[in-house]
Amino acid sequence: MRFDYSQELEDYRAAVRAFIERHGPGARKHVGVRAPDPDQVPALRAWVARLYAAGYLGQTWPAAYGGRPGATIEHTFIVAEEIARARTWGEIGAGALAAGAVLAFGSEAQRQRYLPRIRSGEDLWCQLFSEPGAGSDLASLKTRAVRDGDHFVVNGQKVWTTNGHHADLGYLLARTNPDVAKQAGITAFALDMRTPGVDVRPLREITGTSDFNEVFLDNVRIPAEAVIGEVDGGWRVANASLGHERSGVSARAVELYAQLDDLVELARRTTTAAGRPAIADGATRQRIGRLAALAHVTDVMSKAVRSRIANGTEDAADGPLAKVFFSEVNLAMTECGVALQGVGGMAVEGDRQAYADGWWQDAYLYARAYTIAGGANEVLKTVVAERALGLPRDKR
Amino acid sequence: MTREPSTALPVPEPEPDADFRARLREFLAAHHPGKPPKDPGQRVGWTKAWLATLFDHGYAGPGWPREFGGMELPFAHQVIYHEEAARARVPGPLGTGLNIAAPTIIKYGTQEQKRRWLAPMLRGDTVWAQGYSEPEAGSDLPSLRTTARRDGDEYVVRGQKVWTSHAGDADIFFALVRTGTRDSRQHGITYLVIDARAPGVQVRPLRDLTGGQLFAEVFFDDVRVPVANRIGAENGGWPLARTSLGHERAAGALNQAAMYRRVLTELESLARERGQLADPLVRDQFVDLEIRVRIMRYNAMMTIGGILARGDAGPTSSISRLLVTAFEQDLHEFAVDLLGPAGLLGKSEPRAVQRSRWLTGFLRTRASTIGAGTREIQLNTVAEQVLGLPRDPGMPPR
Amino acid sequence: MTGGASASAEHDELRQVVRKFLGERSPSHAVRRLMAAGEERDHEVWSLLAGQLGLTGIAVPERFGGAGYGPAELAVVLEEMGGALLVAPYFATVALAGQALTASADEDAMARWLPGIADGTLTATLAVAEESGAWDLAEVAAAAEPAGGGWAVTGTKLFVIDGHTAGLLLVVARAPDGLGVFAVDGGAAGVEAARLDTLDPTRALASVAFNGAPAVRVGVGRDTAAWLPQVLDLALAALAAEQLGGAARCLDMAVSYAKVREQFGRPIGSFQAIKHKCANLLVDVECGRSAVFHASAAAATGQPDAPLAAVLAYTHCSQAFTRAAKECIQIHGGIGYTWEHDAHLYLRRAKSSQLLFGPPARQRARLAELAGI
Ligand SMILES: Cc1cc2nc3c(=O)[nH]c(=O)nc-3n(C[C@H](O)[C@H](O)[C@H](O)COP(=O)(O)OP(=O)(O)OC[C@H]3O[C@@H](n4cnc5c(N)ncnc54)[C@H](O)[C@@H]3O)c2cc1C
Ligand SMILES: Cc1cc2nc3c(=O)[nH]c(=O)nc-3n(C[C@H](O)[C@H](O)[C@H](O)COP(=O)(O)OP(=O)(O)OC[C@H]3O[C@@H](n4cnc5c(N)ncnc54)[C@H](O)[C@@H]3O)c2cc1C
Repeated sequence: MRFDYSQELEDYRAAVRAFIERHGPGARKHVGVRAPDPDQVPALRAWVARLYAAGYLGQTWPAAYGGRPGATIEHTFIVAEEIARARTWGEIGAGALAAGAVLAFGSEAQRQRYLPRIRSGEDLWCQLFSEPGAGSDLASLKTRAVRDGDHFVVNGQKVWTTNGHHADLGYLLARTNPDVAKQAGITAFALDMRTPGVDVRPLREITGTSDFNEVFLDNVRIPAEAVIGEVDGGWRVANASLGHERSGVSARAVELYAQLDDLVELARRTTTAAGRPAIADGATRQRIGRLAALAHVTDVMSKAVRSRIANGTEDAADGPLAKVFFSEVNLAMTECGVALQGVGGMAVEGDRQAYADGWWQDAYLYARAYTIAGGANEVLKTVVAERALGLPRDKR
Repeated sequence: MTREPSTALPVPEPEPDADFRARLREFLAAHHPGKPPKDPGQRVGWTKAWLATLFDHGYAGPGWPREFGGMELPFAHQVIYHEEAARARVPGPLGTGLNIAAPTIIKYGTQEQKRRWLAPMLRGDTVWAQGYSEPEAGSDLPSLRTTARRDGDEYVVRGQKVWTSHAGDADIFFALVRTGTRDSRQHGITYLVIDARAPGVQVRPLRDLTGGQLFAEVFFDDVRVPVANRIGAENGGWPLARTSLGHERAAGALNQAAMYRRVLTELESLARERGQLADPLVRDQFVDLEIRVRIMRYNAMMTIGGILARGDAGPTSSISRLLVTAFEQDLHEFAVDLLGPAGLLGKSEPRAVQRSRWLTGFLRTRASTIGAGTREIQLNTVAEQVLGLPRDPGMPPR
Repeated sequence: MTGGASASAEHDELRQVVRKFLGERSPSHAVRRLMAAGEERDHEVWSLLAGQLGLTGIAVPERFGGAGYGPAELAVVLEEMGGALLVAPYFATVALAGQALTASADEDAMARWLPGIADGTLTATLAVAEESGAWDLAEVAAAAEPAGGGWAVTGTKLFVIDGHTAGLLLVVARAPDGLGVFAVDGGAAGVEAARLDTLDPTRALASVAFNGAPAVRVGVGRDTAAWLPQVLDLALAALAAEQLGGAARCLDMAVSYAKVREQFGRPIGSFQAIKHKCANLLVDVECGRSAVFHASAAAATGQPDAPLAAVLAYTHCSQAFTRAAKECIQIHGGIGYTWEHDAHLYLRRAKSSQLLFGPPARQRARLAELAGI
């Protein structure tokens, strides 16, 4: 298998890189899917609009909605990779996810209504799926939506809603029929987050930052035209969306490589007992060497997945497998980064003693999120066993 | 907290009975059978002779009742016994009867059964082998299919056992057989003692992955077994299958730790000789094993201390197998890695390192996490029994 | 204290008393209040802990106002404190400074400071690490010079536990005749201390700069190299006990949650992926218990393998605790990733305890040396 790219794609990559360098909002303070500070939001909306306008986001959409003719999923990957390489901001929130759902399942009116505002950065979206009682077992969600004339009245609670506090719209799953199999009674909605009865309460993560929220829905009235797809057909809509969370695959490998470079730099700068740089120490070299090998495997794996996606030969286990692997390598790498700093590894962002302003400490804590969010590793491994290896289904 | 942490004590030193230790040490030295014969066939006879010597001098069965030839030692003395036996490097038991069948017989056998079976087993006159596993019943033992049909004062046994260790040397099989309906599971199992030479018994040796012949398949083709050979009630065999005698097993816990201490030190010497101890990664892996081997000993002390102080072995005894099996696998694999290509040479090669012991160990220890309950089952058991996690519907009953 | 079954019973009793006290006085919300306020302790809790329970004096000899117990009993107390994440200068005062003064065998120094430690009126700490952060005596650059009748200390110490609040700082510094330990009053002129912003908000670390700070030498007439390393080993064993308490609590939280959290219509603890994690953690925790028990017993009875046992317990418990804290988060899923859940406080404590005395690789290298590898 070969992973090199056509000249066209290489040129494209160079253009994207130059664009980000020239117009981009600069490097972020933290790794991962994080929420910006409120005062950054206006500038980031403008940046998102710029990315769409330049054809770097939404390029595979149908041309009628602003897509770029000739664009392929390969181009999408390249943009995501370059954003990761620059450690800068891409789209804020769940816009791409919502757009995918609207394009695949929405009405023409919905497309006209939502897509342009995603492109202009006017509407930021969040994903209102998880609930306190429904995480891995998403289909057991309890938030109720009851028909009332040309509206649905929604009551319930969502949780872990990343960017909920910045979002203009929410991509919501709610139960419209409690009397059928749990997957069969769910409906997807586009929820205006400013509707009365929507109460967004920020939560704080273990990193100390506030990226996700709880969202309480108290007699929230959603017009029936905001139903995405069919009533009671939401499980299909959601599954298609979750399948779309895959352009991150190769970007994460890039992220890992960047982190590996940092690790080597860190090992150059820290000294061991003998007063030598850690990078000269045999055990450290071996450890970093092993991580480099793992990063490389992650990269190769993601490139394979990426090319299968491009060819349409993707396997249902590809995404889960790549995510599990990446997240475990990432854990080991951040652990190594903190350990190399010795007692200095305790100093965090804002402390004078902190190396790289606490980047590693934050990354170490955030590494846990990758093993939980978007499918916990234990559950994904089960999926891999069943889908990739054909093992019998677990009673879930 | 789910469990009260134990504050056990280390094995009391000075030792409780220096006199006993001295006497035992003297006896073992005086009667030591010397180096084992190379031929595996002769080794059985050699071991039997040693077991008879122990028995005849009253030094067999430290935890067994006196009535059946045992020593009936208090627990602290049993610890000493095992320490001295390990120190003298005398042969261990033959077959699996002493450790597995004997406690069941002692607890649940009739007076007549005890008289008939225990002393000859202890003396090494009869070798016992365990016929539990079947081709379709391993972890899920309650699904076993070998049947025993009642016919007057006999059972007629029909079916197949597999992975039966020492079956080739065995005089007697202790087996679990189905007397209930097909789907009676653990409620229809009976514990039978079967003469290995009875008509219809056929043993076919299997070659294990080391190339040796440790275990065999055993076929029962309408073998007639007297009802008098049943231990416990008909259909009441399941609860008897895992009987232990007090804390007998824990008494040897320190020896296992000591044995692995010795093995690790030997590996270290080998690495030193080969000039590999300067490699930081090699050192680091030795550190890892060093920590584990010492903890194994500390754990044994905790278990033994707990038994002595409170009569309770505590959680350290439940986890010890998980620790030890992982350790012996990692140790041997590390040894083979350390030797590189030389580690791959078989016994017969003149260049083989230490008669290929590390390679053999690497292969042999694959069984550590399979035999006597697989690692997965062990983990489930610990999670359910010690931590009280909800039962997995797929787990066999206790 | 004599050995035998009575010691076990006494330890159990001590454990129960401390556990009950901490359950009432240092529950999660109290820990969080202190943490948020950046306070080093709750004064009322401290005075009860010192006065009513006598915990600050537990390892102080009786003639200096303590209970006269040793490392084994201290380990029991620290295990409980680690489980509760108690925010207090206990580890620095009792495990570090208290044990250092006792080990110095300096009658004057003991008479002067131990009674204050025992009755809780004096908090203290030991300052060893400098730029590299390692507790390595060879790397000490701070200097002590004779000044007037006493000494003057100059240099900067980093990652000093409770260094900005301690009433007494025992500073390891180089005197003209070699390494020494120097007692400096926390409020003395020429001492400048500032709390560092670190991963673990439940344990304060400070940088302390000494600029000709007036000092008294501790352990005069004795070769410092003969007793100070022993203090560091006692500190390792003590920290291991604290880590064990933390690890056991993480396991406990994970197991309790796995029993009640349902997904797919059954408790997540019935899934083997979760069961096996928990069983493996139990192995780690029980091994830690054995290692800590052995290390503290070896220290208490002055066994020759005490240093090795200490490094071993610390190395194992460091790993066990971080692993338990990480799995605890994982088993809790999204809720475990929140600031409001306590799981991350344990991860923070675990990771920083693992690094507190320098990079883990150095401890492992030392273990190799001690074990003759
Ligand atoms: C940083 C972060 C951001 C997030 N952002 C969003 C967002 O924007 N929108 C949104 O809707 N959600 C979001 N989530 C929620 C995320 O999707 C859920 O956390 C995830 O699906 C797990 O659900 P849970 O937290 O309820 O854990 P649970 O499902 O309760 O899982 C707890 C533990 O049990 C294990 N487990 C569960 N079922 C099984 C099984 N069958 N077999 C074996 N093990 C099992 C899990 O692996 C885990 O270890 C976010 C989460 C995080 C951490
Ligand atoms: C060297 C050796 C000596 C032996 N000696 C004897 C002997 O003398 N007498 C005797 O009766 N038997 C003996 N055995 C057999 C041994 O007890 C069985 O091999 C063991 O119980 C496992 O059964 P199995 O081989 O059928 O594997 P299976 O039960 O088929 O297991 C296969 C795999 O599936 C896993 N598995 C099974 N059930 C579960 C579950 N519920 N949850 C999770 N994982 C599961 C197992 O962990 C294992 O990895 C011996 C085995 C060996 C290797």
